Amino acid sequence: MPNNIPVNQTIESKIFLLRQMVNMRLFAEFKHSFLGWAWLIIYPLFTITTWLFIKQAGVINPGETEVPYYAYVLLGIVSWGFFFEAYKNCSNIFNNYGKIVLVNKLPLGIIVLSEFCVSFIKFLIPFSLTILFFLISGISIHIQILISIMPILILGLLGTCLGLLIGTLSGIAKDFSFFFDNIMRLVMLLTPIIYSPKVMNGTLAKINFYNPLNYLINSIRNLIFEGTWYEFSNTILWISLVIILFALILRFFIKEFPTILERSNI
Amino acid sequence: MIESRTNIRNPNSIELVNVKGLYKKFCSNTKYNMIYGMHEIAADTLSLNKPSKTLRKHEFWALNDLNFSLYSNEITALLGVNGCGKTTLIRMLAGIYDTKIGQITYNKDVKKVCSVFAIKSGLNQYLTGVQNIFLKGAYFGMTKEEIEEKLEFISQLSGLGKHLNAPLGKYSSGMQTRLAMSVAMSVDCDVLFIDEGFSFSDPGFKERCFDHLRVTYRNNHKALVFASHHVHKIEELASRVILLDKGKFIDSTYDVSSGVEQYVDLCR
Repeated sequence: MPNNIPVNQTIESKIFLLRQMVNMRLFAEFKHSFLGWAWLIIYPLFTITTWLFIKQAGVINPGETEVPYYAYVLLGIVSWGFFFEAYKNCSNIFNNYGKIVLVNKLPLGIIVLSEFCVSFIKFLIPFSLTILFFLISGISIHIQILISIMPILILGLLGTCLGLLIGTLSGIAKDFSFFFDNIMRLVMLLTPIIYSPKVMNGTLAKINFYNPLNYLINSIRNLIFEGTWYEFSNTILWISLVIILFALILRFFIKEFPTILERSNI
Repeated sequence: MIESRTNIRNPNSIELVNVKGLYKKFCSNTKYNMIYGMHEIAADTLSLNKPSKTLRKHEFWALNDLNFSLYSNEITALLGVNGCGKTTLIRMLAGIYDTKIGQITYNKDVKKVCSVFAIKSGLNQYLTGVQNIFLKGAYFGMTKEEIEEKLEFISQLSGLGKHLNAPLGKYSSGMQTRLAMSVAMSVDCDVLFIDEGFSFSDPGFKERCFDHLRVTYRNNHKALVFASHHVHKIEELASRVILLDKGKFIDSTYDVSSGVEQYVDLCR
């Protein structure tokens, strides 16, 4: 028979908890700085400046791209940043919230949602700056940018569900996070972020055929610059698979969290 | 002010929580703990997990066949030597740990359960006292409006006054405890669990907390359960004692002095 331990959170209190957690994760670390939350804007400006410098130096030949290379790569890096931030935040949920959850029965869905929101806000700032920079530089942005929100959100969901899976397993044994954190570096190099998919051949092309990041990141770029999807049917297939995967992993995470909490040495 | 206490249960009190055949096992070896954990997750995922009362290598019972009830208008002291299962029991009652073997049943009128463990956990050093009140209150399931209503109470109880606008990092350890404990005291819950929460030394604050707990939980059809090793605090606050030893239920008595004596004997 299931236990009937009362749920302490109402919808209003969950929304308030979400706001408090997002607020704390985003702004608390900036309280001890003169510029405060302005750092959220300064960080991406550094990235833009770095790639402008590389463009000036002309040191990289990335393959053929329809738009200026620095624009292509900036958008790729910003998109990858969203995926990786969501992955990192969710894989660290046990480290960041384990002690708090051991003393307060918090709704786990709200914790996951707050980590997703933090990643999304941290993505939106550089994304908006990058788009603004493109407009100032004279690079045309397609109206389909509005549709690009779909592959963008799915990219974040993919990072979230991979982070939840690895975070849950590494709550039992750290080997999972040691291994997959390194794998993520490799995935970044394999995915066409700083090079065009047109230069892919042989093994790289085969790997990227099964790499959802390839379809999602390229679709975001194509929608913004050209107004078209990248390999539409494959992208839609991966979008559907990511949604299903997310639902399954979220359920797994919520079900197994108490078990892991007991067995992790928090 | 200590209210008169009897050595029998108040006949008007009602059962708020019923615990039946409750077990919890842990593993003392890190490697085996990881192996059992992976096995458990895999079995859960495939719906093959059948809770077993058999102990595997390096496993031990943290709780072993507990059966008892908690009643309204009672302040229960949970006593036992270190490692007897008090914290594990409170975590299970609060729903933080899963109940795989046994049953915890709450009265349908119990709408909110709160637990206080490492009291300063969740506070943020960069935020001010007031901002931390909102953060900690949110962890306890309070809405913004509820916290705003309780701000004056929290300020009065903690005695922090103008310090509430300073960053928490500037507080002493005792001030941080007072702030966090005052937020916990302000939560309007039906059953409150406190695990070693009275280790602060400020006598004035302690007295204010005890007065508040007595007024709130000895009436109003609520219940308080606290674990402590401080004998004089137990005698001051509790109306009932539950005694645990090595995860087993030893005794439950409304004669607090006798319960404390048994506890002292166990410690020897």
